[in-house]
Amino acid sequence: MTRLMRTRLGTLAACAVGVVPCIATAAAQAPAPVQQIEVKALAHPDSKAYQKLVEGTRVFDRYRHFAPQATLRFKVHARKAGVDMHGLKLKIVGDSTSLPVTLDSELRFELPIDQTLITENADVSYNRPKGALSWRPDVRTPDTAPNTRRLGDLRLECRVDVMGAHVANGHAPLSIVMEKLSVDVCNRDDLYYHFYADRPIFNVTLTYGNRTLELMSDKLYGNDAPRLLLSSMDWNIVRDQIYLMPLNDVSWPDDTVVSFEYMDDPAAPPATSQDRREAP
Amino acid sequence: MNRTITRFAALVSVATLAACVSQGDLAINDIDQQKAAALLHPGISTKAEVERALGTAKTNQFSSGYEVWTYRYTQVTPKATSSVPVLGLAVQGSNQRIRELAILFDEKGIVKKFRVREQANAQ
Repeated sequence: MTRLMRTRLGTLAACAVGVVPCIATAAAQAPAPVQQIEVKALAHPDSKAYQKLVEGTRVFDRYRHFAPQATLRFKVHARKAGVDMHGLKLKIVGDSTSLPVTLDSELRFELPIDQTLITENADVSYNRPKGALSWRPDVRTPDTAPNTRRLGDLRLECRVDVMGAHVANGHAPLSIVMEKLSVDVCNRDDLYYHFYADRPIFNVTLTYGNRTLELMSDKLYGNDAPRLLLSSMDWNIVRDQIYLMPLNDVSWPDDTVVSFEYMDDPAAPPATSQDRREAP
Repeated sequence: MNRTITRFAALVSVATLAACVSQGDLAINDIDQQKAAALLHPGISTKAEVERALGTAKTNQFSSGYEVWTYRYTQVTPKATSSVPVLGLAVQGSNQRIRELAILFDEKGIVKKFRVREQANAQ
């Protein structure tokens, strides 16, 4: 629902709640000239606030030291079974102007920054029903080896989302409070930020130097989440791609390589050395 | 004097062993990738065969029809210093060793691959 539509409905709702004051106000005013109303909500049934995504880019710049060479994009995923992602179109819609968003083959996009659209509190609208999509930041350092991610990139992804863009459902209330208190939420033990792998995963291994750590099952597939809440999670239909990272464990530097053995890969040899460190 | 030291060391060892706590799937207590390979045959072994050999696993079922079964065994051993009078009060803690066997089944319920993971932490 666009901001414009929300405003109209908000006015109607306000009138419905306080009928008498609305009528009295209308009666007291001179008839206003008829205005043309563009009902954007019919063309764009759901949306994300553009300003939040822009705030995500600011957080990306603020915490860039985690991934100095990386670029930021946002990525959309199907949030419900049966959502057809072919022909998906995104558009940033303000009051006076709009801007199409170009999606790449993996449904990622770079956010164009437009001051007019920021001022007009624009929305990023898409041609799918409400709740059909889930969103994530996607931070990638160029030339990272295939089937790997860099831990610093993931640390930055978490911050872009939880401290700026708030595109993942479920983290906003906590993070907004923490942000006001200037707490780096992604550095907390009690934050479980779920990352999406590119494909269904069977094994995830952290490697730095000759030290390795294979993630145990409680860090995979959303197994940390209460079963009752699974259906409300953004990633419920792609649980086979979900994993957690030791974001606040400084013994794993930002250049730590996170490698994925996917379900459809041939079996990989076991890690040569196990993590023997002492937990703090 | 020597006898006293020996008795004391024996007492500490007994106390340490007695406090060792294990939980989980005993069937994978000492399994490694090689032993698992003798048991699990990708493209052949079925869920029923695996369950007969290892018991009931924790399962993750996915919309693709694939399943991951996980067996887990945890052993917690107090640090030797925890059992030493006076010193134990100052230096408490335990060593935890977790072993997991994860088995991926395809949509037909046949083993596709497996992995033994091990992690040791001090707490």
